[in-house]
Amino acid sequence: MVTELKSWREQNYYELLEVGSQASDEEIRIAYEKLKTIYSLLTPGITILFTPEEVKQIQDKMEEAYRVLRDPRSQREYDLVMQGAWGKPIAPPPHPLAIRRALNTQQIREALGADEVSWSGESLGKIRRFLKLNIDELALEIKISKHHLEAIEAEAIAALPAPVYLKGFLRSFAKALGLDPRRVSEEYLTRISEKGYTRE
Amino acid sequence: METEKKDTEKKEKHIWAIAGGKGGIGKSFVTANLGIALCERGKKVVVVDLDLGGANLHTLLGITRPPLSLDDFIRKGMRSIKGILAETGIPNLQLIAGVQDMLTLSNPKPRDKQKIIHHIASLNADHIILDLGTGISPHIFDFFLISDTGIFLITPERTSLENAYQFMRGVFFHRWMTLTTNKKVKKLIETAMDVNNAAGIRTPVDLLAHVENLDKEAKKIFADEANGFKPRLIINQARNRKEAELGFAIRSVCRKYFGIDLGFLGHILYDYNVYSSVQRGRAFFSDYPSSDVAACIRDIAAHVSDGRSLEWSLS
Ligand SMILES: Nc1ncnc2c1ncn2[C@@H]1O[C@H](COP(=O)(O)OP(=O)(O)O)[C@@H](O)[C@H]1O
Ligand SMILES: [Mg+2]
Repeated sequence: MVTELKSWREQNYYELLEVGSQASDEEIRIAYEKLKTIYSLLTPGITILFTPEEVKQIQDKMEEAYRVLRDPRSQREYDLVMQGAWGKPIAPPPHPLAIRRALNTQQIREALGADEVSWSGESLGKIRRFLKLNIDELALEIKISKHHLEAIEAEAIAALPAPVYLKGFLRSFAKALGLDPRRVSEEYLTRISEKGYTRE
Repeated sequence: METEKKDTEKKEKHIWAIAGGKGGIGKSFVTANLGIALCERGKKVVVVDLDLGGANLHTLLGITRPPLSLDDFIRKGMRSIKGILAETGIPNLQLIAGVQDMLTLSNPKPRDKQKIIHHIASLNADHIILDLGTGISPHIFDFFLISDTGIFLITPERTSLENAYQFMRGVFFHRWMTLTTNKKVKKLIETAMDVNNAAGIRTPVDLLAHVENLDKEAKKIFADEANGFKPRLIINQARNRKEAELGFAIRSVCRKYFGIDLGFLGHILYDYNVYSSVQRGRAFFSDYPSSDVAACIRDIAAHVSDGRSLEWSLS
């Protein structure tokens, strides 16, 4: 996934682990496991291009990369630092609706501080903050106005868009947070229609 | 997880160059049989014997030397390369036979080389496969560079790897040399070509950093050119799974050292029958169409024709 001519010394964590910047947890783990066996002096021909010290340095760098990218919070921080350093996202998502790596149940429970998960404006906001995403940034990323995202989180019925739009917004929002878009939009809509939002 | 990724656009005609640097690793064997496997998929294929030092691609195709070859094309001043296209007995597979007389063409004159290059590009087929022959020299780089995609053939032997890496390094420097007129930059590239140069330039990435200090524009041109460089890799003569999986290690090493993406097309097993078919002067595919080796080559042909390469597991 190297996109420009640079050696391992200059490569970022994603490039070191040879995955795209939108890779899933599973993709990152598989790449790391495979690479760990490659950067060993037992691999035939490894010392043609690298000295034994360099092989060791590459191993260390890959460990560091994996430590950061395996955890959504440190990954998010790393992404932000990279954006700051380069003034642009490391690799712009191929699609305007960026798909964040899916959160597992454990992470969701941790973020919500609850065992029961049900999707509401409040829980969406909690996940967003857990991922250290600010609302302006997210609005830009998924191309939904900040005003609408705030209305969704606040469940401000009057400020919410018409049902046809809202459904799509919820799905994009969920996707961007690494949540199940269908379940989020269904539960959210059921909940706010009980609060007086007309779904038709 | 997806095991394959798409990385070349489909297009009407595709020129592939089979390279490796080292002799006897199976470049001609792979050129011939990959050609046959692509024909099985309904493609029209031309294989070109560019081994100017030891043309024998016809033998690997199981035919005798065609009456006309690149030799005639150059020496008799033929107008079109179509005049030397030879049938192979395999439907839709044609051969441009190589040079018999080593003295005239093993080191071709620039004008002759240009003529060959120009005419190969005009051939009409779905796939054109160039058997580049053995060696790591400027004229082989030139032939390598007319291809849309270069394929490095590597066997698990350390010497094969060494030659392939030397070839890759050489191709970078050779190509960049043609992209600049700046004398200082040219001199620097020349220095870098010597592996043990005093400037400590080991890799193309190192060289780029030095070029940047001399000529920013040249650096940009070089980098752009390098970003488009996406060769492929085939492991030949793998004796077990471990040796086949060496392809993933080579791919990774190239990413980390050269900063290039080397798509892994697949592996071909070692099989004594390859040797025996060569000894009988037969095309391997004709005699062993249901062998494991033939299956390996068909997998590679599938990747070649749909522009995909392997992710992290063998097919
Ligand atoms: N997959 C293979 N299994 C066994 N032997 C092989 C295989 N590939 C190549 N060979 C052997 O290597 C020899 C050299 O192959 P060739 O294609 O002529 O090499 P090159 O063109 O690279 O010099 C063949 O004659 C054959 O005996
Ligand atoms: Mg040969």
